[in-house]
Amino acid sequence: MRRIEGSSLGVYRTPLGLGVLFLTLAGIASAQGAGTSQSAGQPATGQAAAAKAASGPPSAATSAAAAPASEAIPNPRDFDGVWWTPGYDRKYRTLDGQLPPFTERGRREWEAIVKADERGEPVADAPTGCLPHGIPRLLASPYPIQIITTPGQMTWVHEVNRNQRWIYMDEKHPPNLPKTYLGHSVAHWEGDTLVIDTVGLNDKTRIDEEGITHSDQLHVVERIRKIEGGKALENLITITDPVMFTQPWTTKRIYRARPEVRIMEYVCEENNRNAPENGVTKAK
Amino acid sequence: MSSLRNGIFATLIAFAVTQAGAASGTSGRTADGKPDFGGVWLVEKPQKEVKTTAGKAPPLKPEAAALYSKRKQAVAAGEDADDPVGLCLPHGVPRLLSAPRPIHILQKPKQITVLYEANHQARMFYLDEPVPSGDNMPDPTFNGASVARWSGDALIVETVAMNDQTWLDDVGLPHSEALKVVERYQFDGADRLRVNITVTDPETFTAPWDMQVVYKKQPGLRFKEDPCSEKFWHPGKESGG
Repeated sequence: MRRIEGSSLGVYRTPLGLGVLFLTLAGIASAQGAGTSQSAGQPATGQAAAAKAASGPPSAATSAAAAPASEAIPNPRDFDGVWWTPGYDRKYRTLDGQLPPFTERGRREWEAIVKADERGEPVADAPTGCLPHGIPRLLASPYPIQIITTPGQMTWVHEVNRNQRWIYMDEKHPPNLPKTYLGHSVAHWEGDTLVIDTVGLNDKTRIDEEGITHSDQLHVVERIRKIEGGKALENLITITDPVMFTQPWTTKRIYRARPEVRIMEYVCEENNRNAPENGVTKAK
Repeated sequence: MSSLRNGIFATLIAFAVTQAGAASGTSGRTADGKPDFGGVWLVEKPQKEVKTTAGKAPPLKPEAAALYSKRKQAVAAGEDADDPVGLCLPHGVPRLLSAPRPIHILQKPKQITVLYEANHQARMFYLDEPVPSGDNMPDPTFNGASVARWSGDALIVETVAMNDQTWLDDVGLPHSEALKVVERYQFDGADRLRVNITVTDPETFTAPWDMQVVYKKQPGLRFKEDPCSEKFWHPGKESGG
């Protein structure tokens, strides 16, 4: 937002005329609509969509089902609130239900973990050690998430093990990022779809709980939009890692709006019934 | 014409500056007119051994004083293995306020969230709700349950339902589950946030006492990941499984 403030002062100092000033003001208003969704009005795109829906042909107006869901969603860029994935699927698969396109190493590592699990000797991974889940594994967690948007940043407060995602809007990744569990995330809007790009991930986490592994060359792109009239978020997660996969692949998770839910304190370190012993988890 | 144009121009500029200020937080007010505490802050003078605002030791009861003395000696001797923060447990309140790492305040009209870089903690302050009590008292947690209200330009946060596993400072100041903490957040100049804290715990202290924490605004500072439990983690042994 510092950038926007600077641009408005630039106009103030440079008498280029009202037109430029109006454009700047429009830019500020638009940025605020997207950035402070609770306090600002709904984004222009939402108003446009609502107007379009209202002025649609009679056949569409008389049948709610006939209107495309995307046109009926109010505040399509307002993601603020508590969301919770329904159920829990510990495996990520491609959109058509297949295993990802493994490289030889990727398949070997996945098979070793799955076989150890089948023997009753599961190999502990980072969250078992109370460490952050990593991206994309965190995105499948069966615990609620609160999304909070503030100027220039979207924050995801995950209940599970107090994971926090700090997603910086309309920025590029800085060079020479340190490798971390949750990496570095930037995002931008493409229409009413939020596109989050995450790099800088270490190789200490897994893609999913079942046992798909990744290297530190992992690159994750999420395309998130409201569906079901705004009652849910769809997250299309595209995973690229040339060490473990022969090509990028996409999986999906849904989060339902849960306005009645509040994020609770989660303390992995306390009385974890399945705390690893010498790095090995045994269900107790 | 010229004066009309200048008038419109001045109005638009005033609007632009107001809007830009609201967006960046530099105007000090949110859209709903409240002081804007949003942004990243860092504690100025973290206190390892807490003193009251008047610079005195908190008024401990004899039994609690003995426990505090024992813990202080252990910490001084480097035998601080019982320190909950050393075990990567949440700091508890008010110790968390003095953790020497940045905090990020996310301010919304109905909920103010404070993120703490230290061990990825988050506190949610729910605005204009009653302080939990009686049957509505939640199970105790490390950082408790907090509600908040505005009193003029001060944000008053009341926290209850805290377990007794945390220390109130870095050297072992004890407390019971009867602990109640009231924080009063107020601007102290444009870039400082002063928090006056009142600690009440009749099982531990002879009287309520108060302390102070001051934060300085940190424009441009961003959180770093703090995977506290990494020190206990030995991934090299994974192959054993």
